Amino acid sequence: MSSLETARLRDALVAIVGAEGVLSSPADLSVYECDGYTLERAQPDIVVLPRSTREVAAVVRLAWDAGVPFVPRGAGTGLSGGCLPLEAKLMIGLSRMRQIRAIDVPNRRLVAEAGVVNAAVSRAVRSHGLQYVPDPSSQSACTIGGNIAENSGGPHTLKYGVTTNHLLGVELVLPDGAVVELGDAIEHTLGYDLTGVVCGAEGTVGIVTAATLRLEPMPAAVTTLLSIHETVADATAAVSDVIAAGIVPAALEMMDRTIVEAVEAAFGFGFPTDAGAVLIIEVDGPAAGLAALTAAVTEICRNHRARSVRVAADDAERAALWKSRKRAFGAVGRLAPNYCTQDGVVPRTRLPEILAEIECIGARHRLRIGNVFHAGDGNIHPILLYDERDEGEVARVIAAGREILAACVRLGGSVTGEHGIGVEKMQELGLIFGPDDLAVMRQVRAVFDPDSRANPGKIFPTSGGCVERRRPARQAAL
Amino acid sequence: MSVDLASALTRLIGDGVETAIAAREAYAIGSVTPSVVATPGDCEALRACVSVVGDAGAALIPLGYGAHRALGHEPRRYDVALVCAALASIRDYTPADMTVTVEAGLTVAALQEVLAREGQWLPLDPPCPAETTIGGLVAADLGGPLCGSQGRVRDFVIGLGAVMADGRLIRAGGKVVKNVAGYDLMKLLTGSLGTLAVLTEVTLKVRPRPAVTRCLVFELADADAGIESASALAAIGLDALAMTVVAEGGAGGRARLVVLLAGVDADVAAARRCLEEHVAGVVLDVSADEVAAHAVIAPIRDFVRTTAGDVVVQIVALPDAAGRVASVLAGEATRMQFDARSGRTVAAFATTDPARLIERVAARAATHGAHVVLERWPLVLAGEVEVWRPLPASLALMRRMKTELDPRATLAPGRFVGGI
Ligand SMILES: Cc1cc2nc3c(=O)[nH]c(=O)nc-3n(C[C@H](O)[C@H](O)[C@H](O)COP(=O)(O)OP(=O)(O)OC[C@H]3O[C@@H](n4cnc5c(N)ncnc54)[C@H](O)[C@@H]3O)c2cc1C
Repeated sequence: MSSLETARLRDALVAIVGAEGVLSSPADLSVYECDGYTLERAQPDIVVLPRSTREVAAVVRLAWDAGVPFVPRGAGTGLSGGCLPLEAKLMIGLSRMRQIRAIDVPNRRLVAEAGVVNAAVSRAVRSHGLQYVPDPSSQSACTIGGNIAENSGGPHTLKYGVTTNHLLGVELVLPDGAVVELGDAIEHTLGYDLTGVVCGAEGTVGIVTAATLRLEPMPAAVTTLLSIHETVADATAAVSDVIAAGIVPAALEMMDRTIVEAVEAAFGFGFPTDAGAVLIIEVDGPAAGLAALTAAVTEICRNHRARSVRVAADDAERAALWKSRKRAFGAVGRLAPNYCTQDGVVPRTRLPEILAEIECIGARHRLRIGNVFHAGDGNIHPILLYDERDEGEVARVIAAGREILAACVRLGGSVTGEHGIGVEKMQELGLIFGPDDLAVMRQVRAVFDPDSRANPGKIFPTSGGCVERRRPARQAAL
Repeated sequence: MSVDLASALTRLIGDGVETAIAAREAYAIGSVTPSVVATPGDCEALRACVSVVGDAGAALIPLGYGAHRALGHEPRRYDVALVCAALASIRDYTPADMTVTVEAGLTVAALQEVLAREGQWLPLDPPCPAETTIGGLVAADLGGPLCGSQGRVRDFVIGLGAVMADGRLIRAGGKVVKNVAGYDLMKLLTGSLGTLAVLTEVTLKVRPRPAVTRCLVFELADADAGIESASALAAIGLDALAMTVVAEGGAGGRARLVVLLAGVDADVAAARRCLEEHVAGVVLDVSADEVAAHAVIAPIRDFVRTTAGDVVVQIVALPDAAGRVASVLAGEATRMQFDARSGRTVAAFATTDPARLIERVAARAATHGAHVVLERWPLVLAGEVEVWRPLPASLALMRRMKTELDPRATLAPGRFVGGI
């Protein structure tokens, strides 16, 4: 946008949302130059923060009439550059749409606006014995709108499913400003499942302003185990055996030594820092069968040379264990000035192979790589440590990331399990889909967004000109 | 046109083409009979068939064994019954990955048999599984008594292959349980009733088969007593695989509560104690093993396709309204089945005035904000009834989806919601 266009647009936006809802000073905008994927940065020209669906619709309509594309943003915790303002310089932030519109306890439904923080949903219904299951590790910051756009997962999605499995309907502002309701509160789809299409579309079909979510009762009983192994190979073998034994734990997470060291230094839970890997395994269900299940899991871990298998004694210990796991990414900051979290998936039986491969790739590129991930789903998160002042190292991080994803595909997996394609993996999408597959996806996008106004330049490689991308300048604030 | 089309298809798939009246009538939908039945032997042949039909400006309907073809509006045009049943192989199955990739023409029953050998299952139970293909299960979004506890088709499909209306063979998703690469076309095609693409291959999540499965049947005073019991059990969170109230013979008729329990021995025993404590009814039957348990539930599962009746409807409501909907329907229905947890009621009616009955039922459902699916109605009403109600608020967007992906209206034209 030219500075004149920007000024005009800003005035029109102020008329809709008020002066405090429009940011355009360099200092204000710098906060919005990247999300949790910090290898690339770009500043928007304007950030607008509407407070209601009506305001979102008016803002989008204005952009439509002005021929200006836009990029939606929730909390900016995304890890694939989904809300990087590259081709769209108008950013629409949903952080001020924080109302929980309705809680229906008997029917276990909740209607949340897009900017509601994930953890706030469960908090709002806890006193009724209910919860919202998808629990990304970023849940204290990330928004429901961002979760829907990325179809986010979390430790407890192994047994209970990811965001899309708990989403019944959305209120969507289309790129021309029209507001449509997709789905409703009823457990049945009338017509095409467009709610299911919007979920995971990374903001490329419009802006989600509100969502109808399904709540679940808290499990009758829960046991959380910590199994400590000498090697990653032993721990992964235990994971495979648990799944193969027909046990579906509520969660099955792994942290390797690098991560355990960082987490222990940060939180002092009491993890042994000399262990090769630890598993956090949670089983839940009716109280009657839980003891047998716990015993079965314990035996499998012991069969894989667990140094010890410890059951969390009480809720406090259980909470401390989960806190350590969920804040692991943050703790990694202690190990290196910068880090890049990768996200790939393999069939669960191929976990040992991919972890061995990651080790080789790390050695080849002289990089330190930690692993903390959703082992039960085969969803790996290698964390590549680096120092952004070292250009050569940055290049090696990018190359190693690509090799890890290619290895996932070779083993029958995918290039992203929960963090999305964003700008990071547009090239990698071609490893799993051919031109016709992508063409059909683009057609589906065009049904919602014929002119590519919503978050252009994401997911699908654009034919348009190259965008100048800045090298990292500093670690993003999370 | 149809002669040309038949010979063009014959050039592709030889004796996979049938034009005899008996063969064609076997795939009639309402009063519409296709002029050709084409049964391609493999995926490439199927792709070529779709291409040829599309280029000829004709229309096809993808089918498995046709077991569920009564669902949906009469087609606006129906030249070719494209039978996918010959694509019936298992493409990939590593039990320890808990996923399976199959061709769309494999039957649900055949898949369950293969999975059972590994102690696994697909916890979806469409009516008539021996004649229901995986493609049909997904395209028609079928479910049964298990869906109250196990979820719906959309929760299990993680990847697919499909032929688009113009003959492009595409894939979406993959073979891993967690995957957000690209758009979720699995959701788009699940329940699309063959109007957007022809499914050729589906990858599904599977689950371990429960160690023990038992079925308990309680005889209850009447339908309302059953509905009340089931709603109460749902509210306290009874851990049951299935829980269906079956009421027959209208207001004064008999009612049963059929419950499928599963898990390890201790779970089943605990759930059973809970049931016996809460349900004031006589225990009619306690199946001794898994096979017997599933045999009890089978007619309930198949009911929507096998029942006699002039009109059959399925109504889905929010849990707190579902019981009231079921209670009203039970008064008039020859047989009614109610699932408190999924909020689903299926009811069959004998009536001399089907049009009025349908309107009355739909109006009642509407007062509770429920969804209505007309599963069966007399032929005379074809073209006059709306199969799905209410019409979705986003119907215009859905029409755009159809036009974008199938501009020549090759695939099952007119069959879907709002005549899409
Ligand atoms: C420490 C840490 C841990 C994490 N752990 C997990 C995890 O366990 N599991 C997981 O899945 N992810 C995880 N993530 C990734 C991230 O938190 C999720 O992707 C999250 O859903 C993003 O939410 P957000 O509100 O921050 O969205 P943003 O980052 O602001 O946006 C993400 C994408 O969604 C779009 N978008 C945002 N809001 C809307 C809207 N209302 N309508 C349409 N499009 C919209 C944006 O344009 C962008 O493309 C983690 C991230 C961090 C930093």
